Amino acid sequence: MSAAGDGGAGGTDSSGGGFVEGLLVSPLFWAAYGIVMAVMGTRVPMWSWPPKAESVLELAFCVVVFSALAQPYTGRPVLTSMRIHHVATVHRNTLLVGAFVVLVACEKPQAWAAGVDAVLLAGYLLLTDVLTIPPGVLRRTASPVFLITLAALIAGATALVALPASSGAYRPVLVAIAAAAAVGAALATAFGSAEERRVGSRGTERRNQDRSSE
Amino acid sequence: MSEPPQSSAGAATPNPGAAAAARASNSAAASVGAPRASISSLSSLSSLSSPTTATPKPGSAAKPGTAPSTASTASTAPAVWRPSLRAARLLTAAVCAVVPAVVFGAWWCVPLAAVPLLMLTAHGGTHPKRLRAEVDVPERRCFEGETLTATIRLAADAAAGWTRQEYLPPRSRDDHDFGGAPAPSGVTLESLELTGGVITVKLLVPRWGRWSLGAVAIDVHDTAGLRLTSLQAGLGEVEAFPVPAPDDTTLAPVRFPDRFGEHSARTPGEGVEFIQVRPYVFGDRQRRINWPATTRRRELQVNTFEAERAAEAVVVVDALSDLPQPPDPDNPRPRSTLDTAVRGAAGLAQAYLKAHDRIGLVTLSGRVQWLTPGSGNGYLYRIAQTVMDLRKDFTYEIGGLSRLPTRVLPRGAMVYVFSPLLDPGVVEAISELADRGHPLVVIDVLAHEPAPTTGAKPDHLDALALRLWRLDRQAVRFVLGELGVPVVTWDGIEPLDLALAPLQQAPLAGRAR
Repeated sequence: MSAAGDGGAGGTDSSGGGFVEGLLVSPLFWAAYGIVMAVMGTRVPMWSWPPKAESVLELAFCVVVFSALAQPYTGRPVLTSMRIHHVATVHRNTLLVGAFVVLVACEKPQAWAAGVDAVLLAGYLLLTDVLTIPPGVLRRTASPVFLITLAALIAGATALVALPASSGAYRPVLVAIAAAAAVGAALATAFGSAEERRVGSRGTERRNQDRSSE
Repeated sequence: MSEPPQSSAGAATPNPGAAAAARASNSAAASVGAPRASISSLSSLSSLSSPTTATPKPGSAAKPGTAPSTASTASTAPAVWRPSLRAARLLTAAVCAVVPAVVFGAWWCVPLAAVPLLMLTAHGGTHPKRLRAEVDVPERRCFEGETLTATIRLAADAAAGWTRQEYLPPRSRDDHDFGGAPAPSGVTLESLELTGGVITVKLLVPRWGRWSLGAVAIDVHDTAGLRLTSLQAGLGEVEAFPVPAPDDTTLAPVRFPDRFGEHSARTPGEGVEFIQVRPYVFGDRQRRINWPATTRRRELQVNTFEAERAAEAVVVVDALSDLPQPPDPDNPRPRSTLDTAVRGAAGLAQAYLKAHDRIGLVTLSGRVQWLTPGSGNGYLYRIAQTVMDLRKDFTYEIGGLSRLPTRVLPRGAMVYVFSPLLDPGVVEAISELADRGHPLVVIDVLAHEPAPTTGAKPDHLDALALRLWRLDRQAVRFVLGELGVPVVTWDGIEPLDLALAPLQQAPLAGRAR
C-alpha cells in the first residue's frame, strides 16, 4: 500500500460555468424543478378544465412536497437518529425520484408526456450528480458518449411507448429486459462485495489473519 | 525533590504523545462518525501503488515501530462498502419504475426505468479493498491560542473515486444528563484540506488543558460513486499550556529559607545590600573595613551586608468552583475564574523561577494534588502539567490541606491562593494555611458581579439576590481579614503586578505559631 491521491478533481470553468454553478446552488432553482416535476407528475397538461377539487389538492400537496424534497442533500450520508424526519432529510432526493416515478406510473400519459417525464428524471439525476460528484469524476462518468446514449435511450423508449398497442408483443419483452437489468444492477451495486461485509464473522477474521500473515 | 501529583490522573504523564496516539489507534475504526454539517471540499483519491505491487501485503506498512511516535493508523481492516446515496437514488427510481411495469403492465414506465438503469450500469465502479489512514500530529504540546496542524495520510491498494472529509469536534461529555453542553476545550477547526491524498487539519486550541482533538470522518467513494466506505481517524490528545499572566513581582517573606538566592534577607550575610557598621572582630575581611567610620570612632569598623536568599513560594489554585467571566476585549481567549487563576499561577511561577526561587503548587479540586517546590526553567511546564486535568475532575472531597506533607508547604514559604472565594471549603483551607504560620496572600479572581441569567428586565428580586451575594462576599473577606490574610482582587486582564503592588511595601509575615 502506498500513499494515494491525485487531487485531480478540479476543473477550469468558463463564465457560463459560473452561472450554472450559481444556478445549481440556488434553492429557488431546485424548488422550481420540483414544482415542474409535480406538475408533470400530476398530469396538469392533460387536465380537463375546470379541474376537480381533488386534483387541485393533489397538485398543491405535490408542489409543496416536491419543492422541499428537490433540494439536493450534499452532506455526509449519516443519520443522527432513526426518527423519520431525520431519515427523510438525508434521503429526500431518493424520496423525490421514487415519488415522481410512482406518481407517473399511476396514470397512463401521452407519449410526449412520457418523454418529458423521462427527461425530467434524467435531468434531476444528472444535476444532482453535478453537485455531489467532483468535476473530474463527473467528466469521466457523464461523458458525451454517455449523454448521447442516454438521450438515445430516452428517445427510443419513448418511441416504443408511442407505438400503438396493437403493433405487437414487444412490451412484455421490453419489460422483461428492464426488470432483468434492474435486478442485475441492484445486485451488482448493493451486494457486489458481500463477502467484505462479513467483517465480524469468524471465517472472515481467520481469512484476514491469513492475508496479513502472507 | 519533587513529586508527581498525588492522583494517578495527574499531569505528570511521561509520554503523553504516545499515550494519545495509542488512544487514537484504539478508537480508530471504519465506522460512521457523529453526523455534522458537511464540508464542501471534495477531491479525487487514486492509488499511487505501482502496478507491480497491486496486491501488497496488508498491514506490512503498519507494523508498530515503523511509524513515527505521533502517528496512528486509522484502519487497516478490509473496508466495508455500502451503497451510496447516488446508488440509492438510482435504484429507487429503477425499482419504482420496473415494479409497476412488471406487476401492473404500466409499460409507459419503461423510459423512466431506462434512465437510472443506464446510469447504474454504464460505469462499473471499482474500489480498493483496503484503506489506511495514518494520523500524524507532529506537536502534541502547545500554548493556548496556538494552532496545531495534523496530517492524515490516506493509502489504498487500488484506485478510488473521491473522498469527502469532515471534522468531528470532541464531544463534551459522555453523560447525556448534562445536555448538549459545548466542549470546554473550545477546539475549533481552522481549515481542512485534501491535497494529494494527505488531509491537513488545522485546529485552534484556545484554552489550556489536556484536550481531545476530535476526529476526522472520511468517506471514500468508488470510481462510479455507487459505493462508499467510511473511516474515522482520531486525532488524539493535546496538552495546551496556559499563557502566563504578565508578572514580575515576587513578594518576599520575612524569613527566608537557608538557600542562596537573589532576595535580600534581613539577616547579616554575604550580599551587597548595606545594613550597618559594627566593630571589627577577628576574622573579618579587611576589604569590609569602613574607613570613614573607623576614623570617626577611632576603632576598626566593618560594613555589614544583608544575606541573599532564595524564596520559596507555593501557589494554591482553587478549582472547586469555576465561573465564566466577561471576555477580554483585547484577547480572544476564553475566560473563567479557573482560567484566570491558572494563568496567574503560571505568571507567578514564571516570575519566581526567573529569580531562581523555588515554587510549588497545590490544587484544590475534588482531589488535592500537589507539586513540591522546585526550581529550574523546566519546572514551569511541570506546574502546568499538574493543572491540565483540573476541568476533568468532577469529584468533590472535603479534606482540606491537613493531609499535605510538610515538604509541600515548607516552613516560611510564601503562599498565594488564587480563588474566587465561592466555596466554603476554600475558607477553611486558607484558615489552615494561616494557622501553619505561612505568609499568605489571597488573590480573588472573581472580579465581576453576577448578572441576571434571565433576559427579562432585572426586578427587585434580582437586586435582592445581588445584595445578598455582596453581603456574602463581604462576610468572607471579613473572616479572612480577621485571620490576618490580605486579599487582593485581580480580574486577569491587568498585569498581576498591579494587584500585588500594595503588598510590596513590606515583607509579609505569617501568623505566629
